Amino acid sequence: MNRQDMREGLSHTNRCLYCDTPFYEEISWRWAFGLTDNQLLCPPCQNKLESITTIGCSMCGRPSVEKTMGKTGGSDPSGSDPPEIGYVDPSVRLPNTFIKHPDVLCLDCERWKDTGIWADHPLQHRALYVYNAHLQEVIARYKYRGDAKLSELFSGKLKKLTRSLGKIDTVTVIPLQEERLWERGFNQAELLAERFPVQHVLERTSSSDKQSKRDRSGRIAALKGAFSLSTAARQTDWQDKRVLIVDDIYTTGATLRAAAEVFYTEGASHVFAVTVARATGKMKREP
Amino acid sequence: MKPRFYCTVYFAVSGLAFSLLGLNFWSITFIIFGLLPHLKYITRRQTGWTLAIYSLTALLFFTYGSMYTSKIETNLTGHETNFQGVIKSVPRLTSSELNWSFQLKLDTGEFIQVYLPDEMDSSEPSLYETCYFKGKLEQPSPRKNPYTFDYKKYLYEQKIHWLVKVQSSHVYCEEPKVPLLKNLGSWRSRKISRMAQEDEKEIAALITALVFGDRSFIDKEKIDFYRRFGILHLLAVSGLHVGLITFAAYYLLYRAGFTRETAGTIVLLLLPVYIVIAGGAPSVIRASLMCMLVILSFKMKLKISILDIISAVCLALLIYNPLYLFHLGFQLSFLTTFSLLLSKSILTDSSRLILLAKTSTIAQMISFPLTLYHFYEFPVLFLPMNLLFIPFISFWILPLSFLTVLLQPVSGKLSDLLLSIGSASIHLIDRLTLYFSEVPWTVAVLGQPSDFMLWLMIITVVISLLLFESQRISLRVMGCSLVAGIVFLQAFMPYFKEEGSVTMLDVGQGDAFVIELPYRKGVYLIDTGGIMPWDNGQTLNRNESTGPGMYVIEPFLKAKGIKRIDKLILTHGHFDHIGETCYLTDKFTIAEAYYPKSQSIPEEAKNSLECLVEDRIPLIFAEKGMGWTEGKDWFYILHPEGDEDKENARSIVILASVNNVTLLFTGDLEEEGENRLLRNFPDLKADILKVAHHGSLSSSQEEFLAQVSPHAGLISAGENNRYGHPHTEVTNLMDSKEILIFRTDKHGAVTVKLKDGDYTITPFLLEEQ
Repeated sequence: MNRQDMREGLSHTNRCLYCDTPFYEEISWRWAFGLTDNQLLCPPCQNKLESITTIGCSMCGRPSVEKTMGKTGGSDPSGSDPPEIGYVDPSVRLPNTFIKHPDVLCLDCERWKDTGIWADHPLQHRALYVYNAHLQEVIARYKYRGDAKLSELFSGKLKKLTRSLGKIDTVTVIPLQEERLWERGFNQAELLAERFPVQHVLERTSSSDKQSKRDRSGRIAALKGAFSLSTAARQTDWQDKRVLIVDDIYTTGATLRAAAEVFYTEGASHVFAVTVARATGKMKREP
Repeated sequence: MKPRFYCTVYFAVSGLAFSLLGLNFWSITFIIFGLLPHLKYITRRQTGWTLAIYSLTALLFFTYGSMYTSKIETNLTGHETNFQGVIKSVPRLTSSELNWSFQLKLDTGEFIQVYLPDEMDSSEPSLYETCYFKGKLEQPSPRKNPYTFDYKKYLYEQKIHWLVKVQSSHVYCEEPKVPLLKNLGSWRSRKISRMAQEDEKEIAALITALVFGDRSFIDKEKIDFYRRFGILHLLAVSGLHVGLITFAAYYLLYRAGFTRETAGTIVLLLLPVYIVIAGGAPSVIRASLMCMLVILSFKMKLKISILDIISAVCLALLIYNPLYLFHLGFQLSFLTTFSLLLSKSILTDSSRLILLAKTSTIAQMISFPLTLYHFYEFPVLFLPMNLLFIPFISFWILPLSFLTVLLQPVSGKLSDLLLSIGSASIHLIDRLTLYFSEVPWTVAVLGQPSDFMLWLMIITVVISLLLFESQRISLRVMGCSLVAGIVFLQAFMPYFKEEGSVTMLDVGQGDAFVIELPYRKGVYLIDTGGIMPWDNGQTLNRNESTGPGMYVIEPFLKAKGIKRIDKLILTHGHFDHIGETCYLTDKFTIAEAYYPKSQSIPEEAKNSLECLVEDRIPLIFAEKGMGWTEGKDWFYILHPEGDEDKENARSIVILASVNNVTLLFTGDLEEEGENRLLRNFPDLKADILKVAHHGSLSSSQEEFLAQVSPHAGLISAGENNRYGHPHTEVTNLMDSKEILIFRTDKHGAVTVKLKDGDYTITPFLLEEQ
C-alpha cells in the first residue's frame, strides 16, 4: 500500500470519473451535512464544464450571450469561429428553468415558427452545459468509446433540471438506429434518462446517416418523417398529453423537433426536451 | 461511503466526552454530526465498514479516557508534609503580592499548586528549580457562588488536586540541570521578567502577550476592553499570528539567500521552538503543528487536505491530554479554524476588506455561544473593532514586538526606540478605550445560556452558516434571522418567567441580597458586601477592586443577563454592606439608591456615597413609612425613623411580598431596633427572615423571632469570621423555634425561589456531614 492509497482509504478523496486522478472533495457546510451530491469529477475536470445558469431564449434554452462570449479560449469547439452574435438579445438573462409561456425567442426559434406545425406548437428545451471542447470529449468518450459509467455525471442533474416542469405523462428517449445500437452496444440517451420512468414509444422509420455529419438544412431535410410511434404506443390516447424527451446533445433541435412532431400530430398538448449539452456555435467535424 | 477523517475525530471526541462526563448530549450531538454525511448512503456495504471504524474509534477513546481519568487521580493522602519536586510553571506573585504561586511536579509525577511566602531575604523561586520544603496539604476550596470562577475545577483540569502553603523557613531550592528544552523555557521566563521591568509598562505587557503568549501583565481593565469588543483573540497567540510569523520567517530566509527547501526546513525546525517560547497553549500548539504539517506535506510532495491536517492535530492533542477537551482555548481554536475551513465557499471571491469582515463574522458567530456561556456578554461592535484592530495588531504591533525582543540583546537603544514607538501607537488605542468604555450599548449582557440553550445556539449558528452558503438571498436572510431570533430568545427569556427569586450571595463577612421580581419587573440589590481595605496607607483605586463586587456580584448579575439594577438599597453605612458600591456603579446602570435617613454619615461610607453622586444616581434617604409596589408585589420600609445614633441601629428594614411570600430584610438591626419594630408593628410576620447582623448575639432576641415566626432564616456570615458569627446562641434559639437555617459560611450562596405563595430554598453547597 503506497502513501496515495492510505490517503484514499480514510479521507474525503475520490477518483475522477473522467481523468481517474484522485482528488479531494470540495468542502463546504453543505458537504459536512451530507447535502451535496457525490463529487465525481476532480475540480479541474469539473471546472471545464460550463453550466448553463441563465438562458437567452425561453424556447430552446440557448444560454445568455455573456456566457458564451465571456469565456475565451476553447469554449467553442471550433476555436477560431466567432460566437453567434445576433441570435439572442444580450440583455436577456432568464433562469435555466422551464416556464409557462415561452415568449422570449432567439433568432433560430423565430425561424422555426415559419416551418410546419411550429407556429403554434412549442418545444421547450433546456440543457445542463454548454457543448464546449471538453464536454465534446467527455461525450465522445461516453458515446463512442463506451464509457457508460459517465452517464452518472449527468443523469441526476437531468432529473433536477426537470423539476420546474410540473406533471409529465410520458418520458421517452430518442431511439438509435439498429445499426448504431449494434455499434455502441447501448443507447446513450437511455442511460442518461435512467432516473426517469422511460417508455420506449418511438421508432426509427428509415436509416439515415449520423446527424452529426450534416449541416442545419441537411439535418432538417433528412429527418422529415424519421420517427414514428411504436405499435404498442399507437394504441394509447395521446390527446392533451405532456411528453418529455431526453437526449444527449441539442445542436439545431432538428432531431428533437422531428420526434416531437410525432406526438403533436397525435394530439399531445406539450412536448419538452432536456439534454446534457447545448451547442452554441459551429461544430467541429467529428473524427 | 468511506469514512471521513474529520468525522472520526467527532467520534473520538464523543468517546472521550462519554468517559469524562458520562452520558451527555454533547457526545450524542457529535455522533449525529459524524453520521450526517453518511445517511444518504446508509444502505451501501462500504458504509457498514465506515460505521465500524467510527464505532471502534469512539470505543478506543472511551477506554483511553477512562484509563486517563483513573491515572490522574491523586496519590497523596493529605497528611504528607515533606515535598520535593521541580517547579513547572513560571512563578507568579499572587494578587495580594504576599505569595509566590507556581505548579510543582513531585517525584511521583503528580502536580501540586504551591504558595510560597514572598520574603525579602529569600531568593525568588524560578522555573525548573528543584525544591524541597515542608508544608500542609489543603484541598482547593469549592466555589461558593453560582457563575463565579471555579478554582477547584480549574486546577482539576490541570490535574492538580492539592495546594500547599509553605512555611517559608523550610524551603531549599537548587539550580536546575539544563537540557535544551528547559534552557529555552527558562530563557522565556527570564525574558518575561525582563519585559516586566520595562518602563513602558503597557507596550511591554502587550509584547509579552504577543511574543511569549503570556497576557497576565496586561491590566484587567484592558483585557475587559478587548473582551467587550470581541477582539480578545488578538491577545492570544492565534492561528493568524503563527501563520504570519511562519510566513515572515520563511520569506526572510528566502530573501537572505537560502533555497526554498532549506528555508522550509529551517522554519520547520523553528516552529517547535516557537511553541515553547509562546507558552505552549493549545491554540499555539494547534497553529504551529498545522503549519509544520503543511510544510512537511509540501516537502514530501504529498498533497494533504488541510481538513485532514487539522483532524490529525486535534487527535494528537486529545491523546496527549484528554482534558484539553474542557479547555476553552482549545475548543475555540479548533471550532473557529474548522468552521472557517468549511466556509471556503462563503469566503471566496471577496475583496480583502470583505474577506476580513466575513472571516471575523464567521469566527464571531461560531464562537459566540461558547463565549456567551463563559462571559455572559455579546460584543455588539465586534465587526468594526476587528476590522480596525486585526490589521493594527497583526501587521504593526506584532512585527514591532518581535523586532523589539530580537533586538534587545543586540542593541538596547534600538529596542528602547521601538518600545517608545509602540507605546506611542497604543496611546491612540487608549483614547478609543476611554471613549468607548463610556458608551453603555457597546456590549449586550445576554446572560449565561442554559445547557440546552447553549446546544440550541450552536445548532442554530451552524444551520445559519449552512444557509449563508446558498446563492439565494432569501435563505441567507433566513440564516440571519435565525441567529437574531436565538439572541432575542436568550435576551428576553427572563421577561417571561413567572417565578421571582431572592439570592443571598456569599460575599464573605458582609451582606448582598439580589431580588429578582417576576417577569423581570425589577432587580434590586440589598447591600453590596465589601472587604475593609488593609490600612497600609495606600489610597485605594476604585477600579482595582479585589472584593466581592468583582468576583461574586458582577458575574452573578451578568450571568443572569442583568445590566441594570433598579434599586440599590444600602441598609447602613458599614463597609461590609456598602463597600462595593463604587465598583458596581462602574459596571452597572443603577436607577436609584436608598440610604437610611440619619444625622451623620460615617467616614467609611463617604467614598461610596460620593460614587453614587458622581454618577448622578438619585439617592433616596429611606425612613419608616416609605414603600412601593410593583404589580401585586409590594415593599415597605419599616425602619429607621431617623433619630438612631448607632450605625447598625440605623439599618433600613424592608418587609417585602413577592409572589405572595413575605420576606423581612433587617440589615444589621440590633436589639433596641427590634424592640422598636415590635412596638410599631405588633403584628409583624414573615415567611422568610434575613437574620439581622450576620446572626450576632446582639440581635435576634427570642420575642422578636417569636413574633415574626419565620419558616426559614437566612444568615450571611463569612467562613471562619473573627467575630464568631453566627453565634451558637442564635442558631440554637432558631433550632428550638424550628426555623430552618441557611448560612453562607456553610452553604455558600442560597437561592430562594418564589412562586404562587410558595417557595423553595436551595443552598449552593450541601452541608458537610
